Amino acid sequence: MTTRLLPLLALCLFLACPSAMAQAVRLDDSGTQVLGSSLKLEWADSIPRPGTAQIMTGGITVHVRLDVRAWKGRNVRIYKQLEPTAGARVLVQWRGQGTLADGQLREGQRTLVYAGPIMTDELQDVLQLTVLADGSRLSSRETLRFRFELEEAMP
Amino acid sequence: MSRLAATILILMLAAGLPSEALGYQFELIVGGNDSRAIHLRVGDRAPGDMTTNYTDGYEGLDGFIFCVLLRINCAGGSPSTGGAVTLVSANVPANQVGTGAPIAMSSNSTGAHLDSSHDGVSRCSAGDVYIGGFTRNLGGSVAGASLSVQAQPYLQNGAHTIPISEISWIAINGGGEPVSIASGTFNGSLQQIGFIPANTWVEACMRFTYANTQVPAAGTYTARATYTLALP
Repeated sequence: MTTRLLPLLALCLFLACPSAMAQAVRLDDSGTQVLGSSLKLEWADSIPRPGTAQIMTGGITVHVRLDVRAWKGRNVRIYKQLEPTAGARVLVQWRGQGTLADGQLREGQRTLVYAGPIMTDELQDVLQLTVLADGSRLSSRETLRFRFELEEAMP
Repeated sequence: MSRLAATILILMLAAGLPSEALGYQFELIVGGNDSRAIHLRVGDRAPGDMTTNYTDGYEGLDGFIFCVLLRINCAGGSPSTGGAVTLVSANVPANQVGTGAPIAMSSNSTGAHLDSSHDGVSRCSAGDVYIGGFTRNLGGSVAGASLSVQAQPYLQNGAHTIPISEISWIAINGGGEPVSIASGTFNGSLQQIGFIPANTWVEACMRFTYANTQVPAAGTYTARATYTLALP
């Protein structure tokens, strides 16, 4: 009987010790506010230029609030992820005020925006996002969805 | 013991599941002014186009070449027009009338009117007529715009006429984009002479010729040709 339970107990210990596997946890960012529900894109060049991509661009501001109280006192890595789109090809670039690292993402990618100890209940930053989209593959309406994932740093 | 361990495992797995409500999102939208646009310039540039490329185009009611600009769903009106009409002409010496020896025609475009509206570079030779335009369309749902021309069926001088089929043209590359505008001969009907793919700039120089197979009464004969770019 004891022998049969050993694998189960091992799995429980594995799940109970995230630092040992650096499992990504989706962060609660429900306090985040997008300043404006939509981003209006315009052609980067008003007229097509031969041999160049047909880029549309626009900007939007996002006030990010990440609930990290469960990890106070721990070293973590936080990643920002842009979920795959319905078909649009985009590059999202952002600049913040220092809490989160500046960076860029394409659809379906994630990138590191924070690495270090958690000292507060909440991480906040105001990000100025710039979206570059391939106009030749863009429909009139597309939705970009972002999320944040946390991994505890290896001890 | 077995039942307790299973319960613990289920609770821990549930705690690790992400909430679908998390994450933020926003919508990308493209306004009508940016989702569809076309631009066509034939011949001389509009006054506002002399120092700035890509600006609005041309329309007139006189002369041989009738220049048209249509720009749909763009800021500034639909359509927006402007600029002088370009005149293409030829003088046939009395001793050469009707010999069948073609006579080169020459436009009155000079200087910047021979330059590209795309990049401002000198594109066409003296005597040529510049033609260039583009289309904008999101997502490739429409392949592009159709370029056509319709000339009046006859050159007229009062009651005297010359068939418009006496005039033909060749479209040549003045060093810019590949030529995708056809050469041809006017026939008085609507003639498709090109196709501008979405999100593409197309331009060429047109060089006209009078076939000189007719023996008309002396005088000045005129007709008008209208160029149209249409995005379905």
